[in-house]
Amino acid sequence: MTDFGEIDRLLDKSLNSEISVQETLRLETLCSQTDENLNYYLQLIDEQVTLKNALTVLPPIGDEKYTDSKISKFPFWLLFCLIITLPIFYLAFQKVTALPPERLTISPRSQEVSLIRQQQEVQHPSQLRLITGDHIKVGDEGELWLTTKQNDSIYISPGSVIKINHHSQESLTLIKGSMSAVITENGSPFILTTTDSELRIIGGKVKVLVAETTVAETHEGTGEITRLKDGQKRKLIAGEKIQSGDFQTFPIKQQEVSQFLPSLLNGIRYSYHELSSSNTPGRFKTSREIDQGITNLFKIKRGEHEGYTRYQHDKHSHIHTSDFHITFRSLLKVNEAGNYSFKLSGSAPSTFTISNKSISIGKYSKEVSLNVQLNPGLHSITAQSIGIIEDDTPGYSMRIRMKSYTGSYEDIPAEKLYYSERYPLPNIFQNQNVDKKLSAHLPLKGSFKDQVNKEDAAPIGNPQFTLDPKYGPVLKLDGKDDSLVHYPVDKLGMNISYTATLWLNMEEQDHYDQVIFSNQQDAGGISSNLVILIRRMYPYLAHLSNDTIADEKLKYNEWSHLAFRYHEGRQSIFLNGKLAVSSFNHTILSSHNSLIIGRWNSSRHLKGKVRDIRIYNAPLSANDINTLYNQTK
Amino acid sequence: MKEKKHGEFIRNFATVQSALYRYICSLLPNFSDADDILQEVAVISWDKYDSFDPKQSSFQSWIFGIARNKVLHSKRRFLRTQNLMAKALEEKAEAHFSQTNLNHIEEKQDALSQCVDNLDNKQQKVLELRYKNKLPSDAIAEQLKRTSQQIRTQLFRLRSSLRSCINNKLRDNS
Repeated sequence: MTDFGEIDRLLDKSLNSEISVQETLRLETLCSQTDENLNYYLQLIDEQVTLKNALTVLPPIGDEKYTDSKISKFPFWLLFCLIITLPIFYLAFQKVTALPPERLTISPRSQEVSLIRQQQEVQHPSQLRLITGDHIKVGDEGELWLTTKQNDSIYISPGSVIKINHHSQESLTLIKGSMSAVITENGSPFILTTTDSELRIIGGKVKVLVAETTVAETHEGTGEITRLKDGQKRKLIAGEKIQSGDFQTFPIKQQEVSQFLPSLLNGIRYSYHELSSSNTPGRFKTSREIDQGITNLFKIKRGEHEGYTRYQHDKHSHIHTSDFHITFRSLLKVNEAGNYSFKLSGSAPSTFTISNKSISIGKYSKEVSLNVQLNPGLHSITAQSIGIIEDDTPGYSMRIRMKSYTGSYEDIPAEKLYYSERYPLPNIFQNQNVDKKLSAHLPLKGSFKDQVNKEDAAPIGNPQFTLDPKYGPVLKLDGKDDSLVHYPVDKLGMNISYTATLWLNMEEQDHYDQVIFSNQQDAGGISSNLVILIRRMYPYLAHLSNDTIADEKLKYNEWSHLAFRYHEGRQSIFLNGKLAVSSFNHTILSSHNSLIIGRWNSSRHLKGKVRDIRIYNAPLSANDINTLYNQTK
Repeated sequence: MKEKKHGEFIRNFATVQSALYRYICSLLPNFSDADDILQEVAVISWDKYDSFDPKQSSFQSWIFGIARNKVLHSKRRFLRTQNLMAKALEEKAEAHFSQTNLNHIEEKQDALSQCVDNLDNKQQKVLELRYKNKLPSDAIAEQLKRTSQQIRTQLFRLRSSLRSCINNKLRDNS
């Protein structure tokens, strides 16, 4: 005898994700036994969907009394259609899967994540809803941001793996790696990290299941988890550090939220990798990273750096020896939803990706375009190219431009580009009492006096003070033999970390290098190894070799604020208060010779006006530099 | 021209979407999976709408085909291990739900609403927690201080009761 009741019960479990594998097989068996069973199954589907749709729109039980007149007159069928159809209308018109924040979704800010669904890799994960059983793997250089229905963000670190246990209940398992969030429900930050034998919880309330290997389980309630060990459940207190084996207890730590989540800073993160045998961008993941840094424009110039390619940074002179792979990664901030257009051009093979859409060009190929619908928010964008031997001709090996409001294509504005700073250097990104770090200050407002050391810098040649219409008296250097000599650089603290700033108004010269700062040549004729200059209008910083060049040009006869910073191998150049370029793996200065302003050895004299020279014996934060710029402009 | 195409697509889609959802559920009997597939089918069919030729097939057949392909690639589709039966299910389900029309749904909805109103608050609460709040049985059980088995049994009885009530009302109305 056919048991329709059993089909009903099993189907109900299946529809609500409560069915086991055996029960599914049983249901399949029942449905395939007779036509009658199969027909009944289909009727039940109809009935269950009708129930689901009808009950979804009813007011909460107990909050409002039903009345006969309400039910009989209200066009439920219309409401049913609207509820199903409206989101589809939105999709159809917008062509963007902009999902309501009903459950966990992958934020477009995520980079290098792969979604594994039912053992298959899914393309374009940020456009899909997460479903129970999904696994997400975060690349070694990627990051994953999940958005909850309360619009909280959960950050999952590079190299992590998570599993979605139940998307609508926002339950996930951290299998490997770490995750952090600030949950607005109680405002507390939480960090959950897991290794094979260690679990740490710091505050917060979240529904998380930690993998069996870390012997912990779902925790709810403020700062508590339930730990499973040999089937035993125990309550733990936030702040406890658990190791396999014995428990250890530590006090709850109050920590700054900002330390848990990556900061967003203006700029583009770039990295260089050795190239595999192929010249195709993108095939670099297994090769060695040569260098990385921060820049602010999505373009790579060709040939304008006098053979000093900015493609390759190593510890020796920048003599390019072989092709290498370049990746630019950033987040584009979009304020208004709409259609955005991009163009990719250049002489090197390159690709450009935004919102999971890509375009590419070959060597010396024609420019290509890309149109993409974007919603407000941050969108991951990536450009890849090949660093090739410079041929010293003007132009770009890769350039991305975006259509502006005027209709013309221009470089993507730097202020719209952000990168995640995962590993901030605390003593750069925290503001300091900058005055205490000032080791030399030459206002140059009619005198050569250093306000800190109370002594004059020594003029060489005949530098004069001139009246600037905006700033009053400023120092003018003639570009022939004018310069200043001051304290030894080690006495100014430049052998460890430093920030050198000034205001500069440059005039055109007959040679392409105009030196701002250098150090005295040794008696034995050994060249100066402090090289801070403007090369063909680009700010440049080097300790003789392995230079850093900004992409932005200065303008002649216009005041610009410049800051050059060195700290623990990282060189950064700021232009008018904003970071222009940053790169790593650079050597320290290491000199005992005097600071020289306005030339290098006996040549490359600076021509133009200078004011407010400051040397700090510490790395100033981006905020400090921006504040300095605003206060002194 | 583009707006006209939008309007045409939406009109077509609105007409078939309730049948389409039921069809998807029959091939993939899980509400949240079916929700996902429905959304994906909506996007795909809109993207491919230019390729739809009304002379070749009806819009419903065309979009059922897209849904079928989408579900076929889902590892959790029903009757996965029984290929012949799967084919029979697809054909039967398409035929069954092709007959679904809005008027029929409207009548059932009306009848259902009246029937739900006849239930007491506790019974309505169980239905609300299940279908509106989408809670699993054990979560409902915890909230109402009962066992999961009791909840599932009650839901089964409620569905039976509502089924009889709806049939009676539809018979009375006709």
